[in-house]
Order: sequence, then C-alpha cells, then structure tokens
Amino acid sequence: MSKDPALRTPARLLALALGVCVLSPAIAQETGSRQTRDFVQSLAQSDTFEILAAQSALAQSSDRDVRGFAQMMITDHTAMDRLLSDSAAKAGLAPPVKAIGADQALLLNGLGGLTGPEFDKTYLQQQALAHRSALAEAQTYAASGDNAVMRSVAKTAAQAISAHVAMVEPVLGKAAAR
Amino acid sequence: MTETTRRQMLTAATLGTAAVLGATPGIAAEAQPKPAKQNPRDKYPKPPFEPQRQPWPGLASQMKPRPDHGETSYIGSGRLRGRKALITGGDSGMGRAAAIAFAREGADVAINYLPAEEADAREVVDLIHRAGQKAVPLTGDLRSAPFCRQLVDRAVSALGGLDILVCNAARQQSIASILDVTDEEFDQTMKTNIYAPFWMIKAAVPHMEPGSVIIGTTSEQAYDPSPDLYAYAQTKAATMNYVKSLAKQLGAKGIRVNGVAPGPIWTPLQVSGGASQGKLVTFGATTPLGRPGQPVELAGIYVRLAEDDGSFTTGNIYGAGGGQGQP
Repeated sequence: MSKDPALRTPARLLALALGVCVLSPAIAQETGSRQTRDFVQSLAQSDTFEILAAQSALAQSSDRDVRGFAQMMITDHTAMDRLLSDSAAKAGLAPPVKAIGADQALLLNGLGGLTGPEFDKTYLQQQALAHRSALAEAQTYAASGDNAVMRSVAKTAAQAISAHVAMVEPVLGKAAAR
Repeated sequence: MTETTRRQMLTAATLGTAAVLGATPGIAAEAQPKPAKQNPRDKYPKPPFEPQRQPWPGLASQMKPRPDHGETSYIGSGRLRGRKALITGGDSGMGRAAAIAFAREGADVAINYLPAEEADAREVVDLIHRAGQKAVPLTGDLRSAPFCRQLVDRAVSALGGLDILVCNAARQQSIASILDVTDEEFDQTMKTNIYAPFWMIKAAVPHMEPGSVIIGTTSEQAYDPSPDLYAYAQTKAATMNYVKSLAKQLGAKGIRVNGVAPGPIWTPLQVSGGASQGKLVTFGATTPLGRPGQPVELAGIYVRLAEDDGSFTTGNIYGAGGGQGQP
C-alpha cells in the first residue's frame, strides 16, 4: 500500500472509505489458478480494509488501547501487503488490486459517523469479525493452496492474523464493559 | 440431531420437552401462550461462525450451527386447512421452513429435492407427518423439462390437486470473476433458477383453480447484486420480474403470484459454495441486525402469501432483509 502514493492522500482514503472505489477482484490477467487468484485478492482486500479502518481509528478514537491496536494494524498489514505483492510478483501472478470488497465497504461506512466509546466498540467488533474472516481464508489456502510461494504467504499471514485475533478480543471485552 | 442452538434449547426448555425433533407443536398447540418479546439482534446465532464447507448442494443437518426452520417453534392455526402444496427445494432452507409451516397450518405438502438431499428430506417428511398431514417426497433434478412436467403431474395425482406452488429451489455459487464462470455453471444456474419455474408453472396452471397461488423465492440480490454472485443475482432479478408479469396475466384466472425476498439467510446454499470461507465466517455481520436470518423467520411470509386472507396481494414481493434496504 505504501508503494502507491495515490492511496496516501486523505481525499483518496476518504473516497475508499465511502466505498466509492469498490472493485471486484482483478480480471485483467488470468495467471494462476482461480483458487490462488481469489486468495491473493482476498488477502489484499483484507490488508487494505485493515489499513483504512485503522486510519479511521487514529482519526476518530482517543482511547489508548484502540489507538495502539490501530497503529499496530497499520504496521503489520502494510508489511503483510508488501510481502503479498512481492510474493505475487515472484510467483508470476498479476499484482493484487488495492481495493476493498463490498461487505468491507459497508463496515467502513458504518464507522464513519461514530465517535467516542461507540466508535471504539464498533471498530473492535468489526476487527474481531474481519480478522476471523481473513484467518479462515488464510488457513484454508495454507492447508490446500496449489501454489507453494503463496502457501508460505498464507502461513505467515495466518500467524499474524491469529495474533491480532488474540489481541483484539480482550480489548473488545474491556470496551464493551464500559 | 447433534447440534442444538441456544435458541432451540431455550424453546425446548420453555415447552418443557427434552427431544428437539420429537417436540413438534402442531395445530393442537394453538392455545399455548406466545413467547415473550425478543430483541431481534439476540434471537439467533451471530457471527463469527466456524469455517465449514460441504459439497453442493449441502445438508442442513451437517451445518454448524444447525439452521432453525421452525421445527420446535412454528405453531399453526389452520390458516391453510385442506390445501395442497408443492415446494421445490423443500428439504432445507426457506423451502423447508415453508413446508413445516404449511403442514402445521393444515396443508398436505409435496417436496422436491435432489437425491443428495435425501437425509434432510426424510426429516421434513417426518415433520409433516407429525403435523398430521400427508407428505409426498419427490426427488429429482429440476434442470430437465420432462422432469419438471412429471413432477407437477406426480404432485397433483398424489395430493389430489394443487393449490399452492412454491418455486424455491436455486443454484448459487460465489465466483469472484466472470472469467471463471464456466458455460456449465452458468447453464446450471439458469436451468435451475429460471427454466424450472417456467416449466413447472406452465404445467401447474391448468390444474389451479381460482384462489390458488404461486410463490417464487427471489432475493435482495435482485436489487443489489454482490459482485461474486453475477449468475445467481440475475436469476433472482428474473424471478422478481416474472412474479410481476404473471400476476398481471393470471389475475384473470384468480391465481395470485408473489415473491419472497430474503437477505442473508443461514442455509446449506451458503456452505456449499454460495459464499466464500471468509464471507461465511462473518455471514450476516453487515446487516443492521448484526446476524444472518434463519429460515423460520420467513415461514410466516410464505404462509401469508398462500392463505386466503392475503387475497389482494398479487404481483408483490415480501421481504425479510435484516435492514439492508431491499426489497
């Protein structure tokens, strides 16, 4: 993501957050199996969503735990996205499209109008669900994917994502109790 | 039944019964008090769900958690007494919820399903019998015109007529890119979702007297399609549309035609390729109610559209969308 300067501007981020730029997976080049292309695109969408949602959190939350988690999401998912792009190139696959999915757009839209504890609770609930969803995709591909390079990406991603799941659930518990 | 949802256990406990499938309140249960008002957000299981995958067409009995089709909760009150109904895809999902509800409302019910769905269908036949009604299981694939015609004829002769036809069976596969949709996949979706209702309605209308009804299962996808449901969503738009044209055409015969438009509903369609693994885990999370619907939440809609009290409703689409804005 950080390689694409167009994505860094606030206006572009806002456009993405508003779901203006929701794309379905790349169809320009058909290299790799459908399973592999779907996995690459799903992981790219998940990284893009995590980074956008974390940007919202840094802009809209004043909770220390939430901001700390969001900062970590930006760092980890930016690194994961770079690994994904590099590995896709190495495996001879089309570069993943930096966009979010239709359901992720709905989630981001839902964050837009919230502030304070309401924002924190909703952001963390979304994070718990989105990470479980990404974990299911990564574990499925890690177990049965047909491309060795991407299987290794899936394993790395699954480890990072399970760490995020383990991290977000207690923070969510704390926020929900407030 | 190995999986028992919290809701089912609560219901079973409320009714003072132990066995879930064994406890089937039928028409006789009318007098029971209605359960307390419930928050719709908390009424049924919420995501995240366990990742799970079944080969097409999938079985409700293997889903975790098991969908609620009204097995323990639907209580009838004679609203369809003496009617004869044929429901395609009546073994699971919304078709099964309709089959259970129709039987408990006093109708005899024929269900069509694929041979691979025999285990689910057997449960439905048992539930219809327990409601004191005639059950007619008719297995077979709807992608053939002769089979569809034969299906209607077999239902008419076994039931002694036909008052209610529910065209509900559908094929749905989540495929991210149109470049990956094979001709076979597209054809299977069109045959099951568009051709079969055409063949069946054409065969059924000559048997239907004034006061009979046709109900098509459409979807929120007819109005707001998901990018990965290119083939399926357009068949649901076609269903929404044929409901409206046929209502105009068959009004002259006194036959009503209506559609039911569900939002995301927890059915075998979703675990057998209808949704990706990632989507399945968070299934229903984007609805304002924060969860998917259960088939039983549509049972009352099918009954409403089939019963005589709904006599001015034709060419209409009734929804259960969870707040996503459609239909």
